[in-house]
Amino acid sequence: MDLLNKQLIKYNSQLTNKEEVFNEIASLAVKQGIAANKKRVVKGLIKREKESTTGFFDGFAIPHTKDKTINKASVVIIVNEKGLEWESMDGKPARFFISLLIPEKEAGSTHLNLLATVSKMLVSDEARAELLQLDSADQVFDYINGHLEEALN
Amino acid sequence: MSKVKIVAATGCPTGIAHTFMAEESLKKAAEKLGVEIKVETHGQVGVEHQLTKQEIQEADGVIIAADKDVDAGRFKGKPAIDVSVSKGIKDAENLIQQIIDGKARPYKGSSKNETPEKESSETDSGGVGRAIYKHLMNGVSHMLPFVVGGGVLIAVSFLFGIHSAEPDHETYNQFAEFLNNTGNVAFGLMVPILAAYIAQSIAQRPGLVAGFVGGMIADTGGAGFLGGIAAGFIAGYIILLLIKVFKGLPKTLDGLKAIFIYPLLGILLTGGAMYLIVGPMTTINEGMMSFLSNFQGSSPILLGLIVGCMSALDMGGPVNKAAYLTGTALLSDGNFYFMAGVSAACIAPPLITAFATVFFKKYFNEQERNAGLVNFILGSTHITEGAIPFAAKNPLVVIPILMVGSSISAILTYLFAVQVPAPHGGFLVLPVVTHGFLWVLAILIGSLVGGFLFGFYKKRYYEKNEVGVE
Repeated sequence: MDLLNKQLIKYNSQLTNKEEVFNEIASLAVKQGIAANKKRVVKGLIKREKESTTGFFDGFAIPHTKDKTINKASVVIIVNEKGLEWESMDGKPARFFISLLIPEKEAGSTHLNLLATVSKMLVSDEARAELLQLDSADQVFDYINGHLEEALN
Repeated sequence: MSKVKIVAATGCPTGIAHTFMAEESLKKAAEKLGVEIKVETHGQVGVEHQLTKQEIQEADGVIIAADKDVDAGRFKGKPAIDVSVSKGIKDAENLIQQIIDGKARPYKGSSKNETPEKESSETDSGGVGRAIYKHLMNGVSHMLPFVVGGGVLIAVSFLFGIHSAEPDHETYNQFAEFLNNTGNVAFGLMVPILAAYIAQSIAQRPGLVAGFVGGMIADTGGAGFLGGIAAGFIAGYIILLLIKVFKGLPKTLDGLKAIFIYPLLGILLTGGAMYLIVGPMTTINEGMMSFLSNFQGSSPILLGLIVGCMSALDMGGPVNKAAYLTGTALLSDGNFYFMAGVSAACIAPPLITAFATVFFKKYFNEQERNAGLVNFILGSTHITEGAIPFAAKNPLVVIPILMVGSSISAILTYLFAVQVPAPHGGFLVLPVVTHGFLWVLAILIGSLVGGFLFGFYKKRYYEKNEVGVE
């Protein structure tokens, strides 16, 4: 699945606040040629976060944004070592960031549906528990990829 | 007892994540509690799993979990729970349980869906300005296709000769007349559509009705697109007011309200307000004409400034028409100089928007960029209305910019002593224009200056508001 890419997963980051998380997401995206303008991606993520928190349950958050300098729908994943304040739905600090980046004019519904699948996956208590058990970027990649393929069939 | 049936609608501003998480949450909870559910999602791809009338009718209850408009009006009268999208994710089970327990109240159109961004605007000081912009945008985006489609048809009809649509003219051509008339019908709908969809954005379907009528009155009363904007806001807020006033009526009358009370009183009150507004239009128009006649012989610079500002001010409204009618009247007196400036000033606004979208591409969205290209055609054929969709989005800033560009074009035209013997047709009448090259030059200079001003404004606006051209 080209939505996901091992280079877009970072495990055990040592980030200390929201800003750094957004910066890291944007850097990874720019480095992998997903997005052209780091500043705009960061700003987009901040803007979305201001509208309402993307924090979820059990330390998961899904920062996301849509921008024309993003050229390919992608998922960037950052797993931070310690939890960060994220105004989550259950009030717990967030450390598992699954970030969705979407081109402004994403026309094909395929990609959007896949992104929706990733979001939906997090609603499941079991999926969250299993994700938290993993301990490397490779495992996260395999897990989510497996989930996407399952959803496709 | 048969299974409890629930329908739900979910939506969030970006439409990428939370819309679908709420969908999933509700489905999971429904499964757990043994109820049947269908969830309609309003996401980035559009509306999926659309609920049918029958499904809504058969449902025992409705759950609305959305931070945007999900057309909740159709749930009127159904037991419903109306919450934010995050509540739909968090408390899905609880929401469904409330429906099962029969705790949901019949839906009567909540305030939340009238101002869909309530939650975020509470924390955002720019709330009111953004809401106004959103209403204008809704009107403009619905109006734009009418301007483009109608405008191009009219422009094409000119190719048969600029008088070809007039039955008693020697160049009369039946097909050209058909094109011209059809285009003009589309143009005639421009202002009513603008008003209708501004009002719809404010007060949903009841607003649409009153806005349409108000816009029609603005149009036939000669109040132009500014009158249309006024009609849209007046109609929208009158309906909101009516909704408030009739809040106390028993729920059994909900149907009556929607089908009878809101349309009747909405149209009546909006119509009354619009009559007050269009009443003085003739006076304004005549006043401006006599004002203008005082300046006929004044210096090219002063005259150009006045003509430029008048032509670009309301594009088809009473002030613009005053300049245009004076021009045509003088044409019949044999004065070909005056009309040249009016034409230049009427051609400039669409060209200004066209140049701005070309040179400052990235600050315009795709719809605007396409409309900008079309405006090269509309401008070149003296169809000023092409600029209206651009102006209507932010009249207070864009109109002065258009006035500057138009004035420059008109002043230069007068300085170059250009003579244009035709009342319309734009560059198509160039063969009969005296100093045609200088005339085009004058228009291009004004349009480029205006285009760059407009572009710089968009750039600044864009950088200030960051990311996301809607």
